[in-house]
Amino acid sequence: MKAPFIGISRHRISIDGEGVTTLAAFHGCPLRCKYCLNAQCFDNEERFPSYSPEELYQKVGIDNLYFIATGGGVCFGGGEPLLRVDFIKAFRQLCGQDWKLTIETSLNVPAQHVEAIATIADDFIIDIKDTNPAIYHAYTGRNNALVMDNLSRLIQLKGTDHITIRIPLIPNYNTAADCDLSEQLIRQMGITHFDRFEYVIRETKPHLPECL
Amino acid sequence: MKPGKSTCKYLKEIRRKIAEENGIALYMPECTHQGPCAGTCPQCEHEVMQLETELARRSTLGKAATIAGIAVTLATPAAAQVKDCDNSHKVNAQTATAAPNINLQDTIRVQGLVPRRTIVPDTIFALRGKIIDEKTEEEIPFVNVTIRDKEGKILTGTQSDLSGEFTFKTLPQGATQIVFKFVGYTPTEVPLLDNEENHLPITIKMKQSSSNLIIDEIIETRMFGILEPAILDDFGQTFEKDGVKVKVIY
Repeated sequence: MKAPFIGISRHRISIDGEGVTTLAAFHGCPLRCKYCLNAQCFDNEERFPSYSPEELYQKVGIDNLYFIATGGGVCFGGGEPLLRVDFIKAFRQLCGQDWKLTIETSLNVPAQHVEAIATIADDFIIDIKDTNPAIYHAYTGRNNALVMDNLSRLIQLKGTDHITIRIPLIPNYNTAADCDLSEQLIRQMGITHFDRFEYVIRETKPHLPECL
Repeated sequence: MKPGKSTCKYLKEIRRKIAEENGIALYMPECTHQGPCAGTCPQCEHEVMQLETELARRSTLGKAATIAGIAVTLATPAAAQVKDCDNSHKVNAQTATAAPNINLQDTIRVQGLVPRRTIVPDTIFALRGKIIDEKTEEEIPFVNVTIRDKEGKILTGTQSDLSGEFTFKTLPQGATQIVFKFVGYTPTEVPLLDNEENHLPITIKMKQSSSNLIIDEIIETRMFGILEPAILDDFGQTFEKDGVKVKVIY
């Protein structure tokens, strides 16, 4: 079993939860967010390295002492990690319980993936985009019915302590008031950990091809 | 303090704390590197490997290690790890969230070599190390590693793994040298010696041989944003890319 990865980022401190973490970003995502930070996950997967769970374990294991000493571990993101639950399950069998496994996901996946991952991963960071279906669809190209159902399901399986919800302020798509509404709605579900942040549009110069 | 340097400092404190809590005498020279830092380097990685090796050795002797949670209370460096993106936005510095496509091989150069291990003849002990490219400092997997006697006769051997690391649980009597061979690199011979610190891992830097293919030119294409390198040999002739694995493009 191998999976393509668009990147492996070491020594992330307090970004993916507590402790020192390594982010392993899978290729492939069901969404098409307009401001996706990792748009390479839509590219041809053949240009990215593929690893088996054993190979990835060996690769990230160099930071084993940091993981254990700080309560950190590996964060699976991407892309959409819940499309690779079997891989993560096999990885967990290799690393045991010493490493914390965190999932960074949109939750826009079939319900059985969420049910399967709940007993494997420790913490969840969910980028909810916006709870308003129209805003969600405009920004991602998909509807969010699965997301809210899966969030309810995950709360039942995991409790609320291990779930952090990210709510971005996305220029031209939602407003601060929309974000407040999203937070309010999700708080009613029992969630208490939120990460509110803002995308800042930066003007870029057009890249003109050089004459060869 | 720049993010890379602050990360390096934090990780160094973790290593120091692990060493102190477990009574390990770890040589940790102060970093004098000036300029950009990725937060780690071969010297930092070497210190981690030393700790891992020593803790594993103690574990085989039945000694428990103190690691879990000992660095939880250390003050973390600033969380402002903003990454510039290729797209038309950047994340607010207060809450950086993106998954940067960081090259795992981005490291700083370290001056000097790690200490050589020494043996006294008739002593049997474990040997462990890592093999990297002298120029790029990338790990080199599948290197043929052989232990030989003074006549050059092969006594035992192994191969480096995907991380460029190799291990020998024991060494045979009469072992006096270790030889590293891999296609595209000049064979490297290292004498085996012995001292009290015989469990310290070694780092081997292999030099690319002069007959290697050279990536001499990059031709940029605009199809799907993928760069297509042109690979030339020493005489400027173009080679077909099939079957040639391009590991790094600078």
